Amino acid sequence: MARNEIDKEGLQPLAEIDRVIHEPARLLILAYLSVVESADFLFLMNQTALTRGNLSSHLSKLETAGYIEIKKEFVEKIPRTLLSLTEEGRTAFEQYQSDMKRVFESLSQ
Amino acid sequence: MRINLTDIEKKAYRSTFQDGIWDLFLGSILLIFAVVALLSNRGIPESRQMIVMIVLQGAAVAFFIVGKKCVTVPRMGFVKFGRQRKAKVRKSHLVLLGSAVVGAVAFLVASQLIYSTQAGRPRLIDFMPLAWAVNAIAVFSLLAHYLDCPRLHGYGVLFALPVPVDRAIRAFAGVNLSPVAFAVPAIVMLAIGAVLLVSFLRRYPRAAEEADLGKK
Repeated sequence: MARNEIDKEGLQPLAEIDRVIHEPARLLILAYLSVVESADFLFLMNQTALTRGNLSSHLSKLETAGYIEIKKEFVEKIPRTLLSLTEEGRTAFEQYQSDMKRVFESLSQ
Repeated sequence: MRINLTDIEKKAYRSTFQDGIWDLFLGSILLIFAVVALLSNRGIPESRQMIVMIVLQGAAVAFFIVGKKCVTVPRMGFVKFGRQRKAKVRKSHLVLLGSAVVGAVAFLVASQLIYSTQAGRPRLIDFMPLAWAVNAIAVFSLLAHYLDCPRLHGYGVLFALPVPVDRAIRAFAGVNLSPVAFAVPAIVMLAIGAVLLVSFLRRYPRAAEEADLGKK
């Protein structure tokens, strides 16, 4: 077996990691959204301690990936951005957890 | 580093109790009892005491609702928790409802039987301080458990104390200090609530406009 193929096999679990979720800030956002039904932008910003711009940019990426749903609504004329995890996002998050377990298991051997 | 989703959920839920509104509300409920006890000592008729109590309790509930809506949510944000948390909150509502029903039944039974016991035997009213204390500690312990708010255990003790302390002072010192017995724990709770509220207001300044996430 060629050296390159051995390396690829060894790195296989890492290659399967979802890069959208793997970024720490996005992982934190998904972790919070996975334990609530929905939350607004402000609540998530306070909990994750991310800046407004940073959170906004990560949310856009997660929305593009189809992992979260962003709804704009008005409550007594005040705008509220409501965020929730989509079914696809929940599945991807669970998959990410099991992928990471596999990575660490393979690292420890 | 270990990320525990249960801890994240618990931390998010507990953060909604750090605004001091609950503490101020519970403190004001005890303070209302102190006011009613004061009116009673001054010989104000019971019907007027009841009216004052209902009006003040209504004001306390209004303060709680307005406080959550106008102070907490605009600063901390809005969140809907998951099914498990909603089930726990529902259980806490059942505990409060159960406590209210038990309290109402106890009041009706006591009002019928309070003077009907035989001479030499303890009267029903003699057990009132114990019943009050046990009820307060039981209800607040269950609330602390279901709402994941440990300081409610302490508030259970503060709610439990006034009636037994008042009875003990009457029995041993022969003075009626009911208003003070209720006011002291009330002031402790109000002070805790005020400190929490001030630190909440500092920690969460009023939010500016929502971020534009490209959706209208």
